[in-house]
Amino acid sequence: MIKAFTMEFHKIRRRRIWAIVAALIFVQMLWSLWGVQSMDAHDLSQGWMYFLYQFPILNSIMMPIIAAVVASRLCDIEHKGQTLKLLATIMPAGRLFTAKFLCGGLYMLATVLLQLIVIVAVGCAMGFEGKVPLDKLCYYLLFTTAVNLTILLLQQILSLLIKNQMIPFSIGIIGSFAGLFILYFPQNLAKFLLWGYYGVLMLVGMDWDRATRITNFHFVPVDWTGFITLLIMFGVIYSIGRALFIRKEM
Amino acid sequence: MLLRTLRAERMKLSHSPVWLAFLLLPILPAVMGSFNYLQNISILQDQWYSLWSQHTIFTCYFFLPATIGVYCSYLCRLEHSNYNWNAVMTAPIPVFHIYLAKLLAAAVMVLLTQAWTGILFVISGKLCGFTSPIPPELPEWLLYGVAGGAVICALQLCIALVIRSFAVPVGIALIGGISGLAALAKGYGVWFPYSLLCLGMRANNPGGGMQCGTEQFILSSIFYLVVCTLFAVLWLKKRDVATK
Amino acid sequence: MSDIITTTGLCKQYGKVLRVKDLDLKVPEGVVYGFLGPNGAGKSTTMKMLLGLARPTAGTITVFGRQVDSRNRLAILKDVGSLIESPSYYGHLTGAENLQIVSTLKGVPAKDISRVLQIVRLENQKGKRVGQYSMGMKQRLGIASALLGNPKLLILDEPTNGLDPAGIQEMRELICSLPQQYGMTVMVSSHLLSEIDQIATYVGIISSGELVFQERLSTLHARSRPSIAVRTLNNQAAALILAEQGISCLTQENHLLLPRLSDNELAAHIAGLYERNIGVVRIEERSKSLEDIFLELTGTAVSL
Repeated sequence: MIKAFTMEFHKIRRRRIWAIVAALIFVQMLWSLWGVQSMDAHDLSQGWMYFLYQFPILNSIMMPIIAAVVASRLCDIEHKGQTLKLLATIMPAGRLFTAKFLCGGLYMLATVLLQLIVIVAVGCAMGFEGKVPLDKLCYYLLFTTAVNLTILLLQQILSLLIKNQMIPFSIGIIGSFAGLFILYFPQNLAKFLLWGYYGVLMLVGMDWDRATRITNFHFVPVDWTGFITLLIMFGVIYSIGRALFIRKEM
Repeated sequence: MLLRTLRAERMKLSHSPVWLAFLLLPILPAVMGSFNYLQNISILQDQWYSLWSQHTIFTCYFFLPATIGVYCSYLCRLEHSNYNWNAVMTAPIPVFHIYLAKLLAAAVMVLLTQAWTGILFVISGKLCGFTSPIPPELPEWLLYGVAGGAVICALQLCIALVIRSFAVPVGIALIGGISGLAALAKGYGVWFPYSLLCLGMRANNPGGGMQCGTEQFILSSIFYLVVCTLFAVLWLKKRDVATK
Repeated sequence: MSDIITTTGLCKQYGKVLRVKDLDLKVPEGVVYGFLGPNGAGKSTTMKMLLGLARPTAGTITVFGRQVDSRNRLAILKDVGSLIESPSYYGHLTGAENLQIVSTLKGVPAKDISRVLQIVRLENQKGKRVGQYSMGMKQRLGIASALLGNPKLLILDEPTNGLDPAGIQEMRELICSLPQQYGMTVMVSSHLLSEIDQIATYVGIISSGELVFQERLSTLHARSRPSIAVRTLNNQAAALILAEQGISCLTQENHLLLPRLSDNELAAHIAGLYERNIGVVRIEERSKSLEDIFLELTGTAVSL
């Protein structure tokens, strides 16, 4: 298994996957930092909450597309070189599937870690009020990674099973679009949409007072049922997708 | 001769459900944007104009550029795979026509998407029970959107010509869309190719005018179209054909 | 007979390596020109330059008597059909649809499609997606699209790749018939000498980017004159004696190779050996095969 995993990294040498991921994350950072510039004392007092509210929204726009890029980049090399029929004769298809997923998963995990570093660094530099909310950030890491991996998984299955990479991308884009919109809908509805889970597992809520034009953030309890539903979704998608890939005729 | 190239381009696209993405894309904001509008009807009081923002704002910042990116990647991918550049470049067709046919194929898709967006917008408005007349600027918004979209098509085609991967140009389109948002907010919208779509559609300010004059918008669009076309023609002419 | 293709000093450099060096090709009208060379000798690169798919580093190309430049390239290509490297195709479209695209781009009437499909015998497969074609069927499709519009010049890169023995035979017959039937000139590349031997009337042999032979195939055959191999009980002494008589010979394993001699001359020389008490045990006639000449010219073994 470890051999298969390292082989994945060998295969993507000179493909510079990290470059496109880094570029996307960099843009996301710039965008979020842009809002920080004009913070007043009231905003600074709830800076941490502001970030924990802002980032899931940014994620629901960008992460699904980053996942689609990573998955397609990993799987497309096999279609282009017609290597699947070679690989299928030298290693179990299931192992290839898992190795690819772990490889892509590492990239998705790295993006969240990168985000966390930026959140903490900017927070400290700007002087956000209060201590770094480590517990909340850990939850953020856990939840964002969980959603990222589930979406990556779906994209990988699509990219592996369908040769025409346009289809997985279209599904990814439309999914992320729906995920963004569903943020503005009642939460129970979002639970039916995989791409909506960035919002479902959000740790912060917002009240906007129309009269005073003041925004107030507050922590909300963790939606454990949502998280468990997500884990079940992951399990179902994983086993179905892996089985489909193993059964696929090359 | 261009007509023949266009016909060939259309044939290449048969049997592939490329149009499906463009068909689905405007439905989402139409349904969800309208729903959101109805929920916040107390804040959003400009009827048609508020609804227009709801329908278009996310589309033209993020999702239409990315979808155009996917489509342009596909158009080039057709030639990048299976040694097709050999056949295309030995056909007695000027490279200018090869690029233009692809650009038109993509731009027509944007045109249809815009028309479809317009239809959905009118239907949603009626369903929301608006009594005021349909905004007279609607055709203008849509047409300017086509111009801005065509600029993104031209640029994405160049990127996909150079970068043979499918995914990377899509990533660049997303980055472009987001940077377009920033450029627009800073007031440089008219100078940045990815902002032109949003600028033309007045997604963030439907009632008022554009940030810039009409001539400036049109000049900027033409400028980018010409630059991209020149680049693509030079690239195809000067480079050896790489097939794998 | 005028030349359809001529190149002078054609060079192509990739990075620091000269892949094609000072090539002076001459392809006469109405012949099947076999372009022969081991793998990686620069055959495809040369053909790509002829078609304008790759730009020469130096040198000029003349096709149909006109020097190719970026302005007349398209006009020239109207009369050229080609298949380079591997067939080009759109996998999600059927064979007939693929040919439709090519005929539209070439401006050839659509009815020509059924003609070329018949020539390569794909009529029954024309409604199938090319992605599901076998290698040989894709190759036939590639030939069919090269034949569309009856071009005056056909440039085919390893056209028998991926075909089964029957298909190879058919393809050879097809290529041989094209000059007589349609007045086409055909340039075919191959790394198989036997194949060129069977279809070509003219041969150009390229080895590490350089043209080492270019003549009629019959000239190549003329080179393969037989020699006489003699085995004696003391080859070393025999060689010295023959040298005294003005015959230079090569030693090959246990034999001495003598140039071709008349029967009387040979008998006299052998008698000379007997006089010096050297036992002659074998006298054989050996013909140098085309393969040997190819080896001599290219310095490499014929690749499979």
